[in-house]
Amino acid sequence: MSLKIVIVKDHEEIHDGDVVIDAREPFQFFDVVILGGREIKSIIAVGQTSGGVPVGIGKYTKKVVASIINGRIYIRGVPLALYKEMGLLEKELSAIKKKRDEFDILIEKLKQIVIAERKKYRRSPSLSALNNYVEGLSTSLPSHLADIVEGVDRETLKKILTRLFEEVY
Amino acid sequence: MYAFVDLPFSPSGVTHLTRLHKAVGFEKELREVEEVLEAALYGNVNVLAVVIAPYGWGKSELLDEVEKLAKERGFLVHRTALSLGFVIDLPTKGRDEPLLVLIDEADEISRLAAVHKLGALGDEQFMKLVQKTATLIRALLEPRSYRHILGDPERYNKVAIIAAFTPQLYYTILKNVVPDVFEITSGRVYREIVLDTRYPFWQYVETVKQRLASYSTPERIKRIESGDLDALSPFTIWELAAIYHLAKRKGEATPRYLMKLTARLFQLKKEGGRLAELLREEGVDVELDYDVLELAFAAIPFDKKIAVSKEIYLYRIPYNDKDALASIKEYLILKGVDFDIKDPKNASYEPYVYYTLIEDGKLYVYLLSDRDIGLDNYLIGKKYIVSEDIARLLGWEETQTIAALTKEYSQKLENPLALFEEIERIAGIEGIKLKYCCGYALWLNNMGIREIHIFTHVDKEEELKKVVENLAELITQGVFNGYAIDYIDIFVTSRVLLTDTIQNSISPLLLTYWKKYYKEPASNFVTIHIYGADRFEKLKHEIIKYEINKFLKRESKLPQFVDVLRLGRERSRENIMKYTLALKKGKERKFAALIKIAEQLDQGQVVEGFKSYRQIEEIILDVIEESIHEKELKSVIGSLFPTSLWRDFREEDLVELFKLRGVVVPHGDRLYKYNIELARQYITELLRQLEELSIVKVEKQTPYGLIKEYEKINVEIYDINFEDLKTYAKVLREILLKIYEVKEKYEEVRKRLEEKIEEKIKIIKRVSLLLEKLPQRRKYLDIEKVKEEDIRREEAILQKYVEILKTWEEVKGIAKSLGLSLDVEKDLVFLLELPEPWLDDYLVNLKLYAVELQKRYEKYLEEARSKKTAAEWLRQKLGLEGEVEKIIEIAATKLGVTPKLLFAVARRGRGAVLDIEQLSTETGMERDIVEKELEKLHRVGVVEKKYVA
Repeated sequence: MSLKIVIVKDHEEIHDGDVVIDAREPFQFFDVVILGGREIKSIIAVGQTSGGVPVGIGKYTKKVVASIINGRIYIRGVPLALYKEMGLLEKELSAIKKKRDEFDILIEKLKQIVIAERKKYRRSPSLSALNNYVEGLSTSLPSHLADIVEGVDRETLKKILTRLFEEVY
Repeated sequence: MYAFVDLPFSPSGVTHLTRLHKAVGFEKELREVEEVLEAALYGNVNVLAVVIAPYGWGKSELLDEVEKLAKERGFLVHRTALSLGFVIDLPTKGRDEPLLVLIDEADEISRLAAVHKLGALGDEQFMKLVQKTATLIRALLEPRSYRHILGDPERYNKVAIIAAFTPQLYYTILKNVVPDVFEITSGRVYREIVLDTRYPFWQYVETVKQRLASYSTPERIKRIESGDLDALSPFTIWELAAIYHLAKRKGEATPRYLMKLTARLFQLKKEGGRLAELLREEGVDVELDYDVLELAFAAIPFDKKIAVSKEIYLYRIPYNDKDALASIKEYLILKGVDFDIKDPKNASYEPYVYYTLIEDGKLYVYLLSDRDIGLDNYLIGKKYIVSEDIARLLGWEETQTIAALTKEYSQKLENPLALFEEIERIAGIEGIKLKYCCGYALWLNNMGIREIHIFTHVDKEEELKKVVENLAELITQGVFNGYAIDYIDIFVTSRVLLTDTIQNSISPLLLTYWKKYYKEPASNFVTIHIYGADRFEKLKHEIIKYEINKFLKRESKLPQFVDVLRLGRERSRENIMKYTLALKKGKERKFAALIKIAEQLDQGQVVEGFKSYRQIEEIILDVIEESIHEKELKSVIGSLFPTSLWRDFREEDLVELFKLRGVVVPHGDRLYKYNIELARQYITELLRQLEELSIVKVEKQTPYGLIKEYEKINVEIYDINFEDLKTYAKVLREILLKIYEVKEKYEEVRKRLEEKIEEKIKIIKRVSLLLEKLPQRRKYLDIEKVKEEDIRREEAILQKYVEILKTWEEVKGIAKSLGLSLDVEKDLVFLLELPEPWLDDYLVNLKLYAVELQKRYEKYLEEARSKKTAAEWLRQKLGLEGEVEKIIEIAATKLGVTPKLLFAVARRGRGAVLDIEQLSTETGMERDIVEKELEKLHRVGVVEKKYVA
């Protein structure tokens, strides 16, 4: 299934798409978009996003330049024409999307555990364990969590936890 | 033949076996011998005396006299020759019997010593001889210690030893090899009797006379006494004068040589010969009549006029009439002859000028003069000598020339300036000539000592007064016309004022303090030569004599003033050296060395090379009074002290040392003697200077703006409190040392910062070039902070940028043809806004895309061509015109075929072979359908059947 990428140009309104690239002026700054832990070469960040779950930051400004708003990725940036022409824009974003889907599955699994625990114990021990792990207060996770988040680094786990908190509360 | 009992003269010149004569002219030496004998006789001690005389100067003659004298005094005399075969063979003597041992050096020993000097010691026999002689003398002087040689020591009392040696043997060998015996101070020699080596004419005549008398028969004596016979017979005074003249010319007027010549003449005359033959034998080779030759060679006057004679005045002046002698002295000087009126041994004989004789026990000077010299009472009358042209044949020209030269010199030296110039030349004074009152001065730097030589001539009291005033000023200031002086040498001459008068005026000056501030008198640094009216002529004659001798290439003593100058210079040099300083330092810088010295001096240590520092400091502090300008102080030091003799130490170093010792405190341009208030101000000022050095700031204005660099230096000082001179000096040195170190550091840092700025400028130039091309990169190239890696990065960016544009330029037209909206320039605008744009990646992608565009473009062209062929085919076959896609659609519908097959057939054009397989592949239609539809086209006559496979 191909990714629907929408580029919003000047005097246009944002409309649906899997990925929305808001390329409207005025530009606040120019930066490299870091999305899903990797630098995006086909888009130059030009401003900050507001609202939603932040997923991408500017390499130099450290400001949020991409967020998930209403389930779609919203990027405040200008795509490079060459990369767009060559299909590299779509390729890069698809890879991100794929990763994001993997995160969604992971988050869904964790959400189910947390909700089940909360029903049972009012508070979720798994959520606390994840929090302690991310904050560096413990060095390992309980085995049922470790199996799920295997191969995910602590930094990514932090983002997952942020989303988890948002969705659970 | 002449009524002699024996030959009066030995043909070899040596003394007689049986001696009848008496030696002449040894009175002084015999007196000394007598003292030696008396010491042995009455002192009851054994003594050694050494007689020293050159070979042929009458040692043996003297020993003959000594032997005679000793015998008369009751001495047992043992005489032995010091030869290579020398043996100790002493006579037996009784106790209290006086014994004289005479040791006479044999000729063979004299020759060995003269030729080989110390090398003679290499001869075993010679060495043994020296040892034996020393042993004998030691034994005789200390018989108790030499019992094995002399036997009973008691018998060997009252022994005198007199040994006669040549200077070569005595001074060169014996004194060095056996100093315990022959050294006069530490050895055993009681008396050294040095034989007077002068043998004047009158002594020679007396010797001959005495010798003849000694060997005369009584008859001869009687005839002489009766006046019948001349005491010199068979000789004449002319013959003896000629012999003396001959010996003098050969430079050997020694007793032995003269006796040898006399003996030869005696022999010749005995055989009927004459003086002229002797002269011939001795190499006088002039073609002259014998009579004339003899008279000419005698060079003393004769009574009878002859054809080749000239008239002269002959004076006979008693040697004890000193006034008369003084007046002839001047006359003789004009003749180039130095005549000594004090020592008769120096009054001898000068051909054609004068000669001396003893008459009735008194010495007379016979003076020959071609003019009347005014001593009428001593005038004998007019006599004759051979005329000048004849005399010239025998070398008399010299005398004439000398006379002329002397006269010329004398006239020249009448002018004091000419006299001074001569003095300058003789003393070797060469310097800068300066005007000086009543004369002139010469200033020179003589091996570091700055000398002034003043030459003044004063004939009036006022002139003398002026000289004294000027000299007083010179002594006080130590500077003349800007030339500093370490030593003064002054000549004052006068033809009117007496030496004493001048001396009395100048002497008090010498008692004043040298250069006003020294603690010693000026006399230690000044030499004065005063030649008043009473000494002026003497000075002149000294100079003339020296010049004449030099002209004649004769050895001559330098005039007395040269010795005075040399001695004065030497004495002053010693005094001047007391004021020298020498900096001895290792590898450290001078300033550090000075600080070290200041500390050592403060601690009362003796600093090498600074022995005179304290007195110099004392003098300078006297000069300063309260304060002095620093430049003036340097100049004062230069004029007061012999700074050119200082080693590695200059006037400014001394000033620095004064400051470091705290004895002077700088305040503005002036230096003040220490006082606590100024010292505090100075320390504050130094601390301020130190503070200024704490930040190194380098700025440079460039076309790209002002570039600045800073760096801090630690200038912390811990203790700056002081209460007196000593603690002030300590604090001061600490601060100055710190300043010194910080300054070095400051320079180092400044240099480094400058280099940094230079580097920066280079970078900025590169940055500017970059920014001209990519102005938007300015925000990533901060001139203040830019680094090499930034430049490299930006240069790489520029390179890629240029390459991207070039690549884009190549395909831009194609993209446009293909209707693409790609805008690389715009992409670059965005990319270049980033600190690290990925132009590498962009370029790679652009190149890939360019290849793809090429392909697409080719395809596009191919399609355009096909459309054109198809349009032509449709027009010809079906008569249709218009847009190909539309016509195809219309025609296909009309013909009942698939549009794409119809296009595939049409684009191949007229006459093309229609391959079903190819058409099937191209259109993606089944082969059967293709075949069926081609059949349809055939049926309407659009394609030829035969072409259908």
